[in-house]
Amino acid sequence: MRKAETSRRFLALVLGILAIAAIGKAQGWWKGETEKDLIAATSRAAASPQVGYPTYDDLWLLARLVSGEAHSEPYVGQVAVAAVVINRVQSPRFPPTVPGVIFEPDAFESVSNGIMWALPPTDENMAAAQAALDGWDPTYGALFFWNPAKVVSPWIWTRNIITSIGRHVFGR
Amino acid sequence: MQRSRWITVGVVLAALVGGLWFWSYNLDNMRVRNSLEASYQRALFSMVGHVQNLNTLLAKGQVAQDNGQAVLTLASAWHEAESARSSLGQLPLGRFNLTSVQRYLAQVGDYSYSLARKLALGQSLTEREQENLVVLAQETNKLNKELQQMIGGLRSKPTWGTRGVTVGLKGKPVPPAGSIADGLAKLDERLKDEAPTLTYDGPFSEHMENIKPRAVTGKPITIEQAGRIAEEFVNRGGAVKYAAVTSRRVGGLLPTYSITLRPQGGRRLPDITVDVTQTGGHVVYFLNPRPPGPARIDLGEAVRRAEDFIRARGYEDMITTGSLRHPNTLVVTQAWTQDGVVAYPDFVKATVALDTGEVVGFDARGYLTSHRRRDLPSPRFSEGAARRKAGARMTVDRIRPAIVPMSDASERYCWEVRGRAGGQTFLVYYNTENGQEEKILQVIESPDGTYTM
Repeated sequence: MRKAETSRRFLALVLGILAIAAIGKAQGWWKGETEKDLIAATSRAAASPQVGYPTYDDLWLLARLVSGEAHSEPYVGQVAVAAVVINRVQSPRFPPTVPGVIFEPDAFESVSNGIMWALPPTDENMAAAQAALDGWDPTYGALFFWNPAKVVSPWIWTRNIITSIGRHVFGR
Repeated sequence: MQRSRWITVGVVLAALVGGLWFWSYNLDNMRVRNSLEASYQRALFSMVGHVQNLNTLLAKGQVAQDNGQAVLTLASAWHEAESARSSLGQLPLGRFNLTSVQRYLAQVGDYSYSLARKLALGQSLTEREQENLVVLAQETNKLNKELQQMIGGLRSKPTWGTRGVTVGLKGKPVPPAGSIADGLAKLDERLKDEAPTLTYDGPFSEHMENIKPRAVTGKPITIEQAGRIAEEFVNRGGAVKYAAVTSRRVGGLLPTYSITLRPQGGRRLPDITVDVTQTGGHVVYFLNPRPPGPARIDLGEAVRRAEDFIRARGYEDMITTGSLRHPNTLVVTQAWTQDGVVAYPDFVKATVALDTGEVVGFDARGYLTSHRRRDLPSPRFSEGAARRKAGARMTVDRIRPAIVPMSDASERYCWEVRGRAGGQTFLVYYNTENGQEEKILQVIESPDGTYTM
């Protein structure tokens, strides 16, 4: 009698845990860190009272990419990465919009591995993206950049090299 | 006895929860993979469909006799080509750099659009343009056939070929045979060699890739000279003195020395970058990356600071044509005037920090690319005629002569009419030769400045 009661209690406990787990999953209690960051960063940007500080547009996406690709680069190197995106937008060889270029599959490492969304862009990242949108192109028309210290496709070295800034080589 | 039962129950429970978690995790994973795959497949089949439509439209375009029909057909061809490009850019094949297919589609669309524009303006196509259209139609037909073969031969889900990639000639990644990547890489290689080179009046025309800067004149300078030019540029009128510390060569279409300057006298300010052309020693860019504090000076004062800065650097006969406000900076644009005619392509920009009024950025790339003295014939379409033409649709506020850039970097000598209609402001440009309406811009007046769209 007592045994049967214990097992019933156990069964109830198990079902209870499973039920909570199921509800939790449905409610998204265990969403990944990156997703939370995204939500936080978005609402921060949206709540910002500053003039000309857009949320979901080219500037913000560019700054995100800069933070992902060039967070430890000098300021000029950050502008250069944003400028490559803009040069691609203007080139017939790449999609004609900023999101089209940034989210072209496998085009940027920080998009593929999610680093782009890891941290909200800093003021410096935003300023770099803005400078590139204002027309500053430290790469003079580069369509590619790569970090020679990392494993890169040997093909990339067949590009015409224009210059190198910080840890990146820029080419066309 | 009792204790081992508890353990057994615990283990069974853990296994049950773990199994359930793993099962739902796998299920989730599979759904994510499938939906990603679905979006890739959608892009692939859409791309093939758009190329098919493009092919049909180009074929029709060759037969169309009436201008109206030809304009519709060619404009639709542009739309289909752009849609095909957009789909192509969504395929998971970024690492294969299939840029020649992209470029071909961009040029076919752009070329069709430029012909449609010409016809819409009442002009007829030259023999050369007709021939180009035939060549493009044939090329597209070939492309379409190849894509149909690639897709039509499928009996199961297409494989992308992103696994089992080998390294080929010149380090190019080579996808496994029979995959989508393989098919498209072959197409890309063929188009790279065979696609016709087209020079016409569109942004993707061949000539746009090699525009030579016109105002970069003079003798080659040394890197030391470039350093001195940069120092002089930065230190003129500035309170803090800067000295050149490092330099970097920049190749490409406008070869420069990029000079880094450091503040002297122990001031803790960021380094400044100045780019000086290797020919003639012209300053292309100047940038002080100091983050400006909250805005304190008014915008009128900021514009004056920018104008003084530009004048002090040797630019004469410049007028301010616009300004754009960012949170703590103002970007002021000035254009050169030739005997009262505003040459919009010859522009420079100065960025003013709104905390102190210091100029923290300068950009002369536009000016250096296009500046020269132009031959301006006396207008055959008079100012009065422009006023009458514009007056029919809006209240005219101002008319002035201007040189305006077109999308293919060519220029038109126009009357610029500024006027209002329906509570909005516009700039309309009439060709001084024949009165043709070359361009309409809407002027956006906002607290952040005046700009055009």
